[in-house]
Amino acid sequence: MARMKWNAATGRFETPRDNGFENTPVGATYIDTVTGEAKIRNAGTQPDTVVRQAPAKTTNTTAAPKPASTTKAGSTTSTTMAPKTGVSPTTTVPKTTTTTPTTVPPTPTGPSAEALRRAGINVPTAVDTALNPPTNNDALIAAINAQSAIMAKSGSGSGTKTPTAAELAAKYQANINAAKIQEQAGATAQTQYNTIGQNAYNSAVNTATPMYAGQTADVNKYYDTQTGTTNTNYDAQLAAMQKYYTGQGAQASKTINDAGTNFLAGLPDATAFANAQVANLPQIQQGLGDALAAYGATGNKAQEVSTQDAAYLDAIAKMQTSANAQLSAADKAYMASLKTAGQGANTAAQQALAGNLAGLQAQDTSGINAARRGDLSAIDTARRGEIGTIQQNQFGASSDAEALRQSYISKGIEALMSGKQTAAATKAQAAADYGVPPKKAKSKKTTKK
Amino acid sequence: MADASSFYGDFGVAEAAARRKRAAASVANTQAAALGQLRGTRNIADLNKKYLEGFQPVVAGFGRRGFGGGNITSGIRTAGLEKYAANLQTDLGRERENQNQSLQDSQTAEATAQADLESYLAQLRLQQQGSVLSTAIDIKSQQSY
Repeated sequence: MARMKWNAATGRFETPRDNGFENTPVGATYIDTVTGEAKIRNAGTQPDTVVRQAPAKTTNTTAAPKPASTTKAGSTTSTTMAPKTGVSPTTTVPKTTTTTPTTVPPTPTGPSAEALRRAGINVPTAVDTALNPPTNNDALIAAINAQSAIMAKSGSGSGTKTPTAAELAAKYQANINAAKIQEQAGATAQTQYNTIGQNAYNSAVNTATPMYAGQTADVNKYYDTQTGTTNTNYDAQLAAMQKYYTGQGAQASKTINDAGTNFLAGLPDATAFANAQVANLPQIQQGLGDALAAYGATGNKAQEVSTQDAAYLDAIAKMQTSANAQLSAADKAYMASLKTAGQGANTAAQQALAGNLAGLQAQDTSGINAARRGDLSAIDTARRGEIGTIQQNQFGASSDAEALRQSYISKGIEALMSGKQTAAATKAQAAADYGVPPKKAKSKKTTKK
Repeated sequence: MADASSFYGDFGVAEAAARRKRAAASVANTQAAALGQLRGTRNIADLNKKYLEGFQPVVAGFGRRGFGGGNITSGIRTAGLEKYAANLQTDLGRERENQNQSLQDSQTAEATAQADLESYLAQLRLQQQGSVLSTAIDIKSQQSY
């Protein structure tokens, strides 16, 4: 019994029709109506020996290798690529029939393809077909020829029957329909690739955006806390510094005031010359008065001397009193000047104290604020560094998502172009094999006048 | 940095020393005054004794030279005796002047010493106040906050 073969028209495995060798005896030569080769019939399961290649089909052996039939993302779309009812069997000739037509059947489509897949048989999908166009049209042409031969034989019962114009036109139209399906498959695949790419992009972006937003919020929260703590610490330092200098100022001011009070209290009065005594002892009178009188003499001359001496001593005493008064006045002026100097020193000290306190406060405040600025700057730098890293990561994730989308878009474009290319090849082959049917003349409508 | 209390202590020592020195000077002045007065008093007593004891020999000298004697009054003798009494008065006056001068010297020394003490104490207190003020306003020398 002949081996079961795939029939694309029916979508099932069937016993192939007579292709010229079924009834040929062993050792006889025959022409393979499918391949066009001249073969010698061998016995058993031994493959027949090819003695002459088919003139127009020798390139079939150089067809591109069969693409891997791995299931791709979105392969479920193959169900939508199935040929519609009424489509010619030639529409199932895909680029996957790149090996010799006798060993590689046309790619099944439609419900039969689903059945094969359920049975574990790897069947390329329409998307696979669209994405992997043949490197040349040899396999496609061979497949079309094979289909044409099968159809010619099935129609006449003999491989040598010349097809009629109507048959050629039908075959041509069938190929054109297949080309349209191939083109549409590419366009559909592109649309689905675009959708898949957009969905993948949206999913990636929608996943990444809240994650990075959360990271950014966490970083900002952390550094906001750091900033707050830093400001609190430096505010506390400033307050403590202010309190320290306020206390220092109050204590120093009190010390200055006490010093002034003590100075004034301890400043002695100028009493030295105010209370100075002036020596003015009374004159001593000579005691010869009685004796002088006894001899007729008097003490008048002695009295004159005493009077002059007393006047002299009085003058000296007055001068001394005057000198003491002047010295006392000078002393008092001197003490007053010292008092003024002390009071001035007190005032100057209060002013110097205020200046010193203000200067020290300003210096320490500046130092504290400088340290605060340094810390805040470091915090800000660290924050910007981490935010920058997050933004870079987010940008990278966005770029990855965009690259993924672009890859799907690229695949869609490839699918579209592959479909177009395959369709164009199918059309060209149909035109070459069956010729372009002449256009039917349009029926002219006659209007009776 | 010098502590303010040390200045107080130093000033206290300096003031006490000055007051001690002043007291010593006052004692010396008083002693000098007393000695001067005592010396003057003794000199005066010596002068009076000398002139009283020398009066009769002077009278006798006039008599030997024929100027008076008995109940005879002589103008030369009278003039001579009055001259003698005037000399005594002059010597007593000089001695009293010496006493006054000695006393005045002591009093002047005492007043000057007191004035010096007061000036020194005033200077000392001004310096003390300045030191306290310098310490008080020298916040910079304290540990900066």
